[in-house]
Parts: sequence; structure tokens; C-alpha cells
Amino acid sequence: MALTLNHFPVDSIEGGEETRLDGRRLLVDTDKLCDLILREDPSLQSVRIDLVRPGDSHRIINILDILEPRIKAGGDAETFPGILGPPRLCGSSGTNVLKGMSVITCGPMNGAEDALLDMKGPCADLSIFSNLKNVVITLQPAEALSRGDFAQAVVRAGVRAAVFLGGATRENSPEDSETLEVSRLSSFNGHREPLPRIAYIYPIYSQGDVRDMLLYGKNTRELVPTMIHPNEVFDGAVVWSGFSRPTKNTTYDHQNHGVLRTLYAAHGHSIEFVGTIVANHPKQYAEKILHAGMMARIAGDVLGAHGVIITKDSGGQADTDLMQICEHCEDRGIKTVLLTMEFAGNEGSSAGALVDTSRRADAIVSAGNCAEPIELPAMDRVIGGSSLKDYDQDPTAAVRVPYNKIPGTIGMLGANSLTAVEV
Amino acid sequence: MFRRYRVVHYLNQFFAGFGGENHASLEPVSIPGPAGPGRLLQDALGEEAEIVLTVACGDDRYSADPDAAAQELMKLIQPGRPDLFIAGPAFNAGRYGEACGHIGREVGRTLGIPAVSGMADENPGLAYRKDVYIVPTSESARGMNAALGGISRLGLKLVHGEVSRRGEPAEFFSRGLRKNVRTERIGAQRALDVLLAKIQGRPYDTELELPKFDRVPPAPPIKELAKARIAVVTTGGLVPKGNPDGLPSTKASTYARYSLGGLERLDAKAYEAHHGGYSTQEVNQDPNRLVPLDILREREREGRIAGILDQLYTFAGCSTYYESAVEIGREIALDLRNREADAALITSA
Repeated sequence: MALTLNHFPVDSIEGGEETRLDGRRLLVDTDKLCDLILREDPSLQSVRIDLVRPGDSHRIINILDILEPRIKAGGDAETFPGILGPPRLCGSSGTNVLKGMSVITCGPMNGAEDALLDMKGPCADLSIFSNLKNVVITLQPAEALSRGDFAQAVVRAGVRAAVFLGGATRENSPEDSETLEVSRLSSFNGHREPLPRIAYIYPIYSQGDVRDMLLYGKNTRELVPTMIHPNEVFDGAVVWSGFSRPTKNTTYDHQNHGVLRTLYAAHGHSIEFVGTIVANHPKQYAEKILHAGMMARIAGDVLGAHGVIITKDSGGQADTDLMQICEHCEDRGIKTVLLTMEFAGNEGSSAGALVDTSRRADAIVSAGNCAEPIELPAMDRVIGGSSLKDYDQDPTAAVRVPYNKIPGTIGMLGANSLTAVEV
Repeated sequence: MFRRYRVVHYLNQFFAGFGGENHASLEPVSIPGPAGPGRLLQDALGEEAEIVLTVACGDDRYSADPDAAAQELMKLIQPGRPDLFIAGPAFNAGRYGEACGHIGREVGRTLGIPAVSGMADENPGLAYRKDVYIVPTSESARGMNAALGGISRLGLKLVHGEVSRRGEPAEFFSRGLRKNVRTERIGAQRALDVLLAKIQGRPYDTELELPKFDRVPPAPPIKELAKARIAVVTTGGLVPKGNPDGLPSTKASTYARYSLGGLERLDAKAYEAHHGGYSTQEVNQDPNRLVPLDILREREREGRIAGILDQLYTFAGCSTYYESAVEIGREIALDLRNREADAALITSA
């Protein structure tokens, strides 16, 4: 099964009378996009759209999610299946992708932590999103709308915008395209030395009350570990549910999944990529043990994996899943590597980098210390709201925030080049 | 113009010249000027810094109750108005090393000045290396001159502000501080490299060593529940409505205590959860589901437990630093013991 991603690089975005792609220049009819989002969603009171570019002295605040604009290339396929339309199987045929840009949804979400992004300064050295052209959509909920309903409206608005912008590619030809496919090696590589069989274990956030990843539009609270074709992940099957903390991987991070990309690239060369097991982070301890056992069995007995890469989504209890999965796999003789952020405190001095531990977890790749502070200089303009949540100050003024408030720095799906070292 | 920096030096009973093991219970004392190896240290420091005062304490005395010893020593150290604190060197002496680390940390935190010590690489006092700059030394006092040279050089650099927190590691033991850095290869590629090395039996390095957490053995079970006074502790962040004491919702460094006296149950109008890590909706509807006072009172009336300690211990257990958690746990346990609780019911978020 092949998924073809048709790439349409975008060098600049500008407002326009219509939405179209002129070479690498994307013109956006922002009024029409506003209308589209509002018309379809009575739960939203207002929408504001800003176009921001790398180097702008802009601070985007109250970020809820980030998506890469896409549209299925043809037929009755569903882009981001299960969100706006039926949950049709995705991951095959063609998908048009606007590269070099994103849709950022913002809004006043009760209980969410600050998530912010500067388009210049130190952020630009650290976050991939500061280097993209961004369509920022600031949403206001209708009066008395519950948090859960607002979060769903945020998801719909983000997906509507991503598909609307993706639609600008309809009349154009892609600059290049990339075919994603994992063939069975045994069928064409009989002469070769057997390669190490590697699987990926992919737990996603699932803490209830809008704090979960959506899989084909459904929340993942009751998800039982299952295998999934990675093409579906690349093709919008996994969408964040709108209540953001930046260390929860954004939808963009799943669409551009670092571990899956790397395993695809190595498949047939240094490894045989044998499968992806998706799971949630269960609330009950007994379920954590059960799920870890199920995943280790699938990896070992079904997939015959020699090794697995294990990631996690969020912190705290997710660390217990990480350790349980590690132990169950290692007990079966499956080698493990854990990819995780660490929580070493704001001075990097805390020993409790994770809340759970295991002596079997002897190979960990660190995505960085999420608590390390970073000084952000003043910006000229703020977008996405008028105040920060955790900092009682002028939102444009210089501010000192931990890395985990800036999306795109700590990459728990492996796409970022940050780590922490002992000094 | 240079400033003459003031130094206070800590020694144990042996190096301060009071005697060996039979004087290990020496009470904290203060000696004007340098003493013992402090004289050599003064030479090494030269004109620029002056050991104004030496404080000493017996190793047994210190290790019997480090917090009390530190408190008493602080009273002796503070009048010296030091710019720099030096402890030891302790070489491979374990109790001495731990005392040097402990008092160094206390001085550093209280007075906000650098603390320097010297130890051999197996000394348990190295546990304090995050808070105290520890110069590597030989196993025994035969390496005194080299150790004092290293300590004085580093100490002077520190008072000059020439050593960043993450200075040149060769001068002192790694402080074990984590620092974010950019890498050539993305996390996923590094993960695959390590995994292949592990599978193929090649050497590999973890990027993160996991801490060895304290494992506290559980207390023995209560023999007769009907005679036990039960305390309630929660990490779920239950606070009086409006959070009057401003308890943080994440990264707690302390806890709060609220009276449960005379309460039959926790009223949703009077209590709420203040916590950054879970959906507090259900708790706010009925705080008894986080802190089950209603059920406990029922058990009390039935005579199945003897009583309920009339204090609620609470903080938001969310992104709490490990060290803070250890400290909060110790403090709560001590308070529970002082109030003669027999058991604690600990509910989590």
C-alpha cells in the first residue's frame, strides 16, 4: 500500500481576493476562510486570521494545535478522516501537502497552559514552527460554551482551515512527490542477510475530558493496543483534540512523524521495519500492565521484532507506561530504546528526570530537558489573545519560559534535534 | 584595588586538631582564623582571601542529626560574613565528606555564596555535588597540598565570578546538571542508532541515566485497625475554595495543612482541587472522592477505626521535582509521627 505525498512548497503567504497557489506564493482569502469556519460552527463566536512569517516580530500565544495543510488529491477520500466527515480509511493514494507552512489554532482554553511561539529571536533557532509561514486562527467560543465543546470546535476549525488551504493546490502540479511504502522484504530480498526486525510502539495521549489524541476522529480513552499502518499516521488519522500543552505532540508532529520517517528510510537498508503498535496511556495501573504485556506479545510473537523504539505522549503517568512496556519487551528478549523528554528542573539539577524508572531502561534517547528556561526578548506584536496565562505581564514583553511552553522544541516523536547533556 | 575576600573554613574534629575517633562527638565550635590544614590553605589562597574563621564539628555529632548540626554551625558561620565557604578536603572519609557536602549546601543556600570542598571519587559526600563544588582529591591526606591548591584556585575563581555554574568540569566533579543542546542528528535517528548497537551487541550509551529512587520499605501492617488513628494525605491538590494560601498547581516545594476538626464531610462549596495535572471536574463536584472524609467518618462511627487525625495534608503532586517530593514526604511523615497518627491514607490525583 502506497501513500503519495505531493509536495507544494510555499515561500510566501499573502492575503488575496481568492485562495490560490501562484508558484510558491500562497494567496489566502481570509474573509472566506473566516466565514467557512464560523458558518459551520455555531459554537464559535468569532474568528480572526493572521498571516505570520519567519522574522516577524510577532509572538503567537494561547496556541492550541498546529497542523500541516493538506487535501486528498482526488476521489471520495477524506482528509483528516473522522473529524469533519466519515472515518474513511486513509493512508493510500495521493495527498497534496503545502510544505513550509502550518495552521496554528489559538484561543482562550480554560485550564490549558501557556503555549507560545516567537517568529524571531531564540525561538527561531529552536522551533521548527518559527521557521514556517503560519496561518494563525484565533477562536472565541460562544457564550457559556463548555470547555469540551470548545475543544471540539477548535479541532474542526483547524482541520477546516488545513483542508481549505490544501485546496489551493487543486489546479497546480506538485514540485515533487514522495511515495511512502513499506514492502515486505522477504518477497524481494531473498538473497540478503536477514536485517534486524524493528517495530515501533506508539502510545498516544488519552487522559479524558478533551485531553486526548483522536484516532480517526474518536477519542482514544478506551483504545486497546492495535497495529496500525504508518501511512495512516502520515495521512491525518491522528489528530490532537485541541487542549494544548506543547509537550503533547501537535497534529503536525504526527503528520511528520520523526520515528516513522526514520524507520521508513532505514527499511531495507539497515533494518526491516515490521510494524507499528498504537496504544493509549490508560488511567488504571492494571490496564497499563495489560497493555504493556499485549504490546510486547505483538512485537515479539506476532511481528518477530528484535528491537523496538518506544515513545510516549506527555509526562507523569506516561512514564509508567514507558517503563512497563520496556520491561515486558526486554523480558521477552526484545531490545528497547526509549525516546522521551526529561524533566530535570529549571536548573537541570533534579535527579527525577522521569517519574518512573526501571533498571531495564538502559538505552534512552533524550529529547531535552523540558523545564530548562529560555529568555525570550520582547516582540512588537502579540497574536492569539491579549494575555498570557502563567505570566502576569505585558504579553509582548521579554519573558522567561521553560522549553515545554514552546511547541516544536522538545520533539517526543523524534523529529527534532535537541537533547540534554550532563555538564 | 582588590578586595580581600572573607573565607570560612569547615573541618572535622581530627583536622581541627581536637583528636581522632574518640573525639568524634565534638560539639560545633568556632576558632578564629585558620586552623590545621587551614594554615596551608591560607598560604594557597594568598593575599586575596582571608580565612577569618574556622568552624569544626565531630563526625559522629554531625551524622547523628545533620540538620541540627548544620543549624548550629550556621550560627557560628554567619558572624564571619563569608564571601566563600570551604569545607575539608575530606579525601575518602565518608562521614566527613557527607558533613562537608551537607554544610556546604546549607551555607550555599542560606548565604548565597559558593561552597567548595575536596573529595576522592568514591566519597559518599559527592552526592552533594550539585550544590557544592567538589574538587577531586587523592584517597588520603598525603595529597593535601594538591587538594588545597585545587580548592583555593577554584574558590578564587568562584568569588571572581569566573566559573559559570557549568564551568570546566576538570576542575571539579561534574555537577550533574542537565543542559539542552542541539544535535546533528534528530532524536529518531539517534534512537535507531542506539537500538541497532544494542541488537548487534556493540557498545552504546544512554543519553539519560535514570535516577536510583529511594525505596522506602512499607511500614508493617496495622494489627488492629479499630485502634488506629488514621491521617489523610493527598497529592491531589485539595484546598479551601479560592486557594487562600496560594498553593501552586505544579512543581510544589511545600505542602499545606488544613483542619478537618468537626467536619463530617468535605463540602464542594468550601473545597476545590487546584492541580495542573488532571481534570478536577469530578473532585470539584464532590471533594470527598479525592479525600474520602465521608467514608472515614462512617468507619469511625462504626468503630472500625479509632479516629481520624484532624489535619489534612495536601499539595498538588504534578511535575514535582524529585528532591522536593523527598523533602515534603519527610516533613509530612515527621509531622504525622509527632501527632501520633498510626496510619496515613494517601490519595493521589
